[in-house]
Formats: sequence, C-alpha cells, structure tokens
Amino acid sequence: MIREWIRNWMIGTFISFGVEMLAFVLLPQELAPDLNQITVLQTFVICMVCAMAAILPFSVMEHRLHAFLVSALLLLGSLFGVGVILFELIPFEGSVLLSVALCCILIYSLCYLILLRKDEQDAKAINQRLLKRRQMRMEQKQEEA
Amino acid sequence: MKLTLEERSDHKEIEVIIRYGTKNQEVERLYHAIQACTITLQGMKDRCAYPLSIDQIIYIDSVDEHTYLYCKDAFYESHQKLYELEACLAHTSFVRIAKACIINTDYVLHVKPLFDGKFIATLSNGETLIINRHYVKNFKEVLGL
Repeated sequence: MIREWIRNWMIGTFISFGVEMLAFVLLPQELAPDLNQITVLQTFVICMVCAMAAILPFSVMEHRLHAFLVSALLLLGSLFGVGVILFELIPFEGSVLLSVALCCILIYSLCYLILLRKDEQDAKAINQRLLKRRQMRMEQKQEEA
Repeated sequence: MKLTLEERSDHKEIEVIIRYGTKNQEVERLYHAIQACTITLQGMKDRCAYPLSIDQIIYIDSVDEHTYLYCKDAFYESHQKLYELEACLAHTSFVRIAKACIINTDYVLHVKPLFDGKFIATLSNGETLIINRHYVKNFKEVLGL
C-alpha cells in the first residue's frame, strides 16, 4: 500500500511539474518567473508538496467525496503556503489561478482514474474467486452424486 | 489431513473431534466450517416459526427496525437484530455489505464497480445489492483475498 502511495505521489509530482514548466514557458514574461536552477528546484518542491497534500486524504479517508474536498483544500493551502508565501515564486494573478485550477483538474482526474482502476482490479479479483468457489461447489456436488 | 467416519451405536448425537498438532489457520477454518453447519436461524412467517439453515438464506435485510431473512422462494422475519445475526454468522460465508444488509457470498454470482466507489453484486436469484465502499474490504476478506 505504501509503495502504491509513493508511486501515485511521484506520478502526481511529475505531471504537475510538467504542467508548471509548460505554463512558465507559455505565460507572458511579466507573469512567469525566470527559469533558472533555483526556480526550477523551487517549482519541483512546490509540486512535490502539493501532490502529497492532494493524495494523502485518499489514503486515510473512507468517504470519497470528503476526501476530494479535503484534498482540494490541502492542495490550494500548500500551493499558496509554499509557492506564494514561502518561495514567492507564484504571483497572485488571474492567469496563475487559472493554471492552478487546470492543474487541480488534471490531478483530480488522475486520482479518480487511479481509484477507478483499483476498483476494476478489485472487482476482477473478487469475480475470479467467486467463480473458483462455484466450480469447487459443483465438483463437490458431483462427487456426492 | 485424514478424514475418518466412525459408527458407534452408543452415540446418540454426532460428535466431531478435530485432532491437530499445532493450531493454525487451516484448523480454525475447519472448525468454523463445521460450526457453520450447525447454525440454525429462526424465521417467522404467517405467525409460524421455521428453522432455517444458513445455506438457505441468500441475504438479510433490516428495514424500519424489522429484520428479514431472504431465501430462494420466500422471506421470513427474524426477531434478532442485524448486529446479533452478524455476530452469530461470523466466520461463515455471510458478510455485512451495507449498514442494513448482510449477504451470503455463496449466492453472489459476480460484482461490478460503480463510479462512486461502491460495488454492485448480482445474486443467483437475479437480484442486485449494493456493496458499500466501507465494507468492500470485509467482503474480500470473507472470500480469502
């Protein structure tokens, strides 16, 4: 379970990092920070923290909708805490907020797809076991007959 | 494992003795399986009491503080509460799938995931029941997954 959590965290980190780098390239110069070693590293840290904040509620909360809501709050909180306040890397601008919202949609869609895939795998394993049990019962009945 | 049938005319009831060297999971499973054969639930229908063996019961449902035992051709009311039945049917093929429902996994044909994290179970009598996300883990445990 921890391995799966780390894998999801890394996937979230790299996808959001990729989107952020793309946003920095496409955004007007006055909005995007200068791309140097420090800003790239700071962006990566922001993405790591945000991905962790986004994914954590799904590991600890049973109710899926509550997990999505808590995750969104933690994500925005960590983004503003680290990106805007701590590193001062993310300016408080409309277009930045838009890119943040797009990132959130991407991450949550990914999370939802991961959960959906897990459900499909669970259903497959359950159905295989149910089939095996039915076959065993049929064999037992044939032996008794 | 050695299986022996011994006829003794002086015995008035069936006695089962499980001899083992070390108590392990297999021994416990065997013990619970034999115990399950002796469990009988009382169902009321038209003011008559009917003894029901657990392999006759497809699922148990609780509605408006009434508990009903659903069998292949009929349903019966039980005077026991759902939590009492759940305790009585521990270590059998029965598992709680929702706040008000206990299902006999021997009658489940297959399961399918739903979008909100729940599963839909199709029973051998054609009925479908919803497995709440919170109870999927227990459902898998009963199947040995």
